[in-house]
Parts: sequence; C-alpha cells; structure tokens
Amino acid sequence: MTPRAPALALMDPAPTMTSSLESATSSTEAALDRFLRDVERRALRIAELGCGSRDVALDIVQDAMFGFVRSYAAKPVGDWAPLFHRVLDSRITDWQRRQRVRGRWFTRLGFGGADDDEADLLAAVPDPAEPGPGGRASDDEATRALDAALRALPARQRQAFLLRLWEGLDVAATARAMRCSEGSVKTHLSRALATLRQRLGAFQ
Amino acid sequence: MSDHDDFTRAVTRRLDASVDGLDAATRSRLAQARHAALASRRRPVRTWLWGGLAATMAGGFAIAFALGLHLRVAPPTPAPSSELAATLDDDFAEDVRADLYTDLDFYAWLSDQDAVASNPAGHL
Repeated sequence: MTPRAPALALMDPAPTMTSSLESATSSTEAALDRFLRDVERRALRIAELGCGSRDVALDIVQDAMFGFVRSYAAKPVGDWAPLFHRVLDSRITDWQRRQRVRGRWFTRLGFGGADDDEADLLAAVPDPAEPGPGGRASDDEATRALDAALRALPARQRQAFLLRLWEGLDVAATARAMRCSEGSVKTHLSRALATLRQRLGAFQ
Repeated sequence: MSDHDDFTRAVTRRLDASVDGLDAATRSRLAQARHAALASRRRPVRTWLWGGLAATMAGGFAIAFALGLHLRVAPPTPAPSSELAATLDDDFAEDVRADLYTDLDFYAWLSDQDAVASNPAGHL
C-alpha cells in the first residue's frame, strides 16, 4: 500500500517541472553543440578568407559563436545557419574596418606605407595555405590558387558564393544572412562565378 | 545555368578538402571556443551588470529631463530689434561725447601745444 507517494507527487509538481526544464535546456545545448560542431570548420575557412590569418580567424569564429549563442540560441533551429553567418559576417566586417582605421592612423603617424589599403594588409599576413615540407605540391597549389581567387573577389560576392554553394544555404537564407534581397544574392553569385571561372579556368 | 556544375563541384570539393585537412591544434582551438560559447549560455548574467545598466539609464533620463525643463523654463532670448540696436549705438556715442566734455581742459591745452609747435616765432 503506497498511496502517499502519488499524492505527494500531485501536490508538489516542482521537481517534475524542473527536470523537464533541465532536459529541454540540455537538449537545446546538445542541438547547439551539434550545429556549432558542424559549422565551425567552414566558418573558420570563411573567416580566414576574409581576414587572411588563421589566428585572427579563430578569434573571429570564437567571437561569432559567443554572439550567436548569446543572441540567437532561442530562435528556431532552422534559422540558426543564416543567423550564425550573419553574426560571423558582422565580426569579419568589424575586423576589416578596424584594420582600415588602424592602417590610416599608421600612415598618418608615418609608420605605414602610402598605399595601406585592404589588399596590402591581406598580402602582409602569412598565407595559411602555404605548403609545408612534404606537403602535396599540386593539391596545395590548387588550394592556394583557389584561395587567392576567392580573396580577390569583392567581399559580398565571396560571401554569396561561399554561403550559397559551399555552405548550401538556399537563396532566401543566404539573403537573410547577407541582409540583402534575394535578387542581390543572385547578382553577387553570378558575378562571383564569372570571375572565378575566368581566374581559375578549368579548375579540378 | 545550374548552380552545381562541374566547376562549382570542383571548387567546393577543394574547399571541403581544405577543411578536412585542418591540423589537430586548430581543431582543438575550435572545440575550446565552442565549449566556452556553450558554457557562457549557462552562466547567469551578473546582477552588477544590470545595476550598472540601470544606473546609466537613470542618469541619462535625469539629464534629458533637466535639459527639457531648462528649455521649457528659459524661453529663447529674442534678437535685439533694429530700433534697439540704434538706441544702443546712440548710447555708445553719448559715452564718447561725455568723455570729451570731462577732459575739455586737456583737449584745449593740447590744441595750444599744436599751435605753438606750428608757429614757434609767434609764441616768442
């Protein structure tokens, strides 16, 4: 005879609610972990193509992860990819802006050259795709050529190309990530493809 | 034009390969970043942060209120009319004339001195 236990359970529902809340939180966290684990490497490469340095790219991706988790973790899972890439793009743009301002000040103070623009800054940082000893020369050459072609693209075209064709977002999600219209995404993508085909030729 | 033709497939394959070939140190740093971001979600927002935010907002409202009150209490000063400006000019001229009257003896002596300087023989 155990009538007491069910009665207590009915009178005090708090433990059940707490445990369901905890399980919901942990399942969200598990979903977030899966999502970030899936996207983090490609995010690193996208950041690397935007800033030209792996260390800086790692900082940018970490910052983007923090910003995404803080602001958008409660959003529906289907919205996570465009939102994460929006945060990532914002961090990359911030970094590029800071570099431009810093370059301008360095030039004024006489520490920099007269032509300190973005292209020169990117050229100054070490190339992460630089082949190491014993590396596969042809593969590395192809990767370097691809990296150079992607870096030479205007930022919006590169973003449209990477999000739409590599990240696999549809046009609407890409437009959401880029904060522009779907027509703009198509235009940027078309121009990016034309330039890449011209630069890389028969890329294998 | 198909988005996924041979060219784009080759490019994305190359990009995938570059991601798959990331070194262990980089992968480890990415994992650390992910864990830190997820851990930040579990941490409660510090109460002092909210207190500081509330104090800043209260200060801002107080300044805005004081500014608004000042603008309401003190109406803007109207520019002087042309008539008033003319009166002010006259007052200034009056001041100059009053100075002349006060030092009349000095100006008379100065005039004598000029006459003596221009005709020294007559003076003798």
